[in-house]
Amino acid sequence: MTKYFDRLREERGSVGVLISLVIFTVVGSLMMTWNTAQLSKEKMRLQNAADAAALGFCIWQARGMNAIQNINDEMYLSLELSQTFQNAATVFEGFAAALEIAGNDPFLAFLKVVAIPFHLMGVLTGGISGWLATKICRFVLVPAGYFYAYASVPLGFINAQQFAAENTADPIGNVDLDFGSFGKFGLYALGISFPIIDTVMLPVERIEDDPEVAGEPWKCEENEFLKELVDNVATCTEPWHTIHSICGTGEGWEYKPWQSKKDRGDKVPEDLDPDSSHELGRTPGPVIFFVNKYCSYDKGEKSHIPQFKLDLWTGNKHYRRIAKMPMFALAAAQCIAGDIVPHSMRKDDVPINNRMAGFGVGATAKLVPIEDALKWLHPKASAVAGHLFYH
Amino acid sequence: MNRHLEKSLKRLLLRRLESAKGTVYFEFAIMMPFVMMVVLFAADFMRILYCEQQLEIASRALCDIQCHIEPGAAATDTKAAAKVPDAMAKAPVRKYLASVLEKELMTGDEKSVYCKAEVRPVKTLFEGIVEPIVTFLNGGKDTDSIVVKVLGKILGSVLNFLTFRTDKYFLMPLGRDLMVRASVSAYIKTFAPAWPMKFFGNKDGNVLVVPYKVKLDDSVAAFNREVQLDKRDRYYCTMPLMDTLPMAPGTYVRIIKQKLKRFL
Repeated sequence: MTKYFDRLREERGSVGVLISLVIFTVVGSLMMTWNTAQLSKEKMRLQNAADAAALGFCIWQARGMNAIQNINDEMYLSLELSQTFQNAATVFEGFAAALEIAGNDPFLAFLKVVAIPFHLMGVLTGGISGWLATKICRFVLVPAGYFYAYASVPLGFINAQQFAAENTADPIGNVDLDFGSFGKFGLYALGISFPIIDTVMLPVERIEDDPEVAGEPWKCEENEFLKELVDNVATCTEPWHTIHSICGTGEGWEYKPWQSKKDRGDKVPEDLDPDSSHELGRTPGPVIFFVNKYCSYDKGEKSHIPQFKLDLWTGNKHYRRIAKMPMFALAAAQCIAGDIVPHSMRKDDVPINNRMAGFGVGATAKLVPIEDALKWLHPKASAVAGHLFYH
Repeated sequence: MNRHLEKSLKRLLLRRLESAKGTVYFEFAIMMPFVMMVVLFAADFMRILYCEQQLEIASRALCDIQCHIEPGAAATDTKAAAKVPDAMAKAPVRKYLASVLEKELMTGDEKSVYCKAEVRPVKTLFEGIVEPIVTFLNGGKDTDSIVVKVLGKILGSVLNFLTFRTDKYFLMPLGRDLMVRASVSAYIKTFAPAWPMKFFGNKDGNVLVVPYKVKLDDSVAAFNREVQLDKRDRYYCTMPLMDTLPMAPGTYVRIIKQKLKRFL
């Protein structure tokens, strides 16, 4: 017995014991460091997911704003072009009318035949261009405008889910709906915009029944005179009157441009000065997106650590629960755009494709601090967020 | 005498063996290789963790830069849009990023950092509808059927003509809904044997561990290096392409208007 106690008091072999303890500690701390590094990497990817989701949403808002501005310009261009051709048609019709009047003389009856090609040119340039411009706007541009006004935000929301999933975020609540061959759908990113209405649709509206604002180009004295002339000339001969009625001369035109909504509470100048367009409407508000991820220390089925899985959709009554460590990330982004202003409300010397600043400039999206995003909600919420996230 | 000497030597040897003097050094000398291995392993381990984090940051940086690069005239030109992946492949930013990382990560060899970026359509609900229509009307890019290609081209041209090309207001933004996927991977040469790192599983990561003595094949071109790397399609950052189509498409109305302006 004393031999064993004597042996214990000896120092031989102590280094081996000490070093094995040190190695155990070192390896243990390495493992902890590895875990921390893995979590840090997952957190970085999750933050990328949140940033991508927020940007993906706002990119679609920006595309919608740009598309609507371009559609406004296109409608006005079509109108201008149609009116140019109709003015040319009036000239042809004027020649034709003059020739027909002269042809009433028995000696100059041949002039009525000469008038026919001028009538044809008038119908082709005026009637068909007006008809085409009306149809194109009514069946393509107007529906396209409605599509981007109402579909940009849902498309952006769907995009956000895709970007969050691509960046390895998990469905919120770990719920993934499996529709078989249609695919799996889950809510990967939850977003809200302040003002809240911007979560549903773009802040745009059509200018309805207000020609003073819409500024139809034919509402000027010269065109009124020309229109009257066309109507009078067209009644000279019945066939041409019928053809003109069929082709139309811009009647039923639906030039109802889009503009940014004016519900910010700012006063609208009475003279509608385009230089003060920043007071006329508002841009989409910032949006905040939330994503989450359930990280685990094990490697799935190969791990020796027993795990339990909660399976909602298989109908398996033997419920199992996954032991996971959740993390989440937030990101805020905003569509940066000038106000959408109809072409007629601009200065005359502004070229169509090179827009002045503030006149529906090329919209884009960028990430913004969450503190700034919450300013739209309440100043105190912004201050709280600032303290939580940045101080 | 000799027996006496022998006995005293034996006694001395036994006493020396039984003595505890110098055992610390002896034990330390035995444990030293294991300690060195653990130290080297720890150093390599830390280096790999650092590299992984740096590569994650680099992936995000590469993605951010690539998604802001304007794809030329691709806003209205579908042919130019198809060339975007080639343009991105040759972008100098990737070479610069790789050269910076090679020095910083001390991978021990040149050309051991591999940057990859590509553009893909976003899988919205319309993927099954819009993309095939756009492809069909542009002449059926991926099909071998001549009939489909010709029919698609004819229908596309008729639609363009009837709508004065304003159909692009519907198709272009949906067709340009793209995402940029980027990844940065690297070879890391380890001082310690490589197998412990593989045991701890960098299988899904972006760092490939190789022993120090292995010489990477310099003759393999940068993009062919994918053959050496694991062939799994792994991307570590995905961002939306920041193309918001600010300029309107070139419709016939605009073209005629421009011609009239010059004429008048």
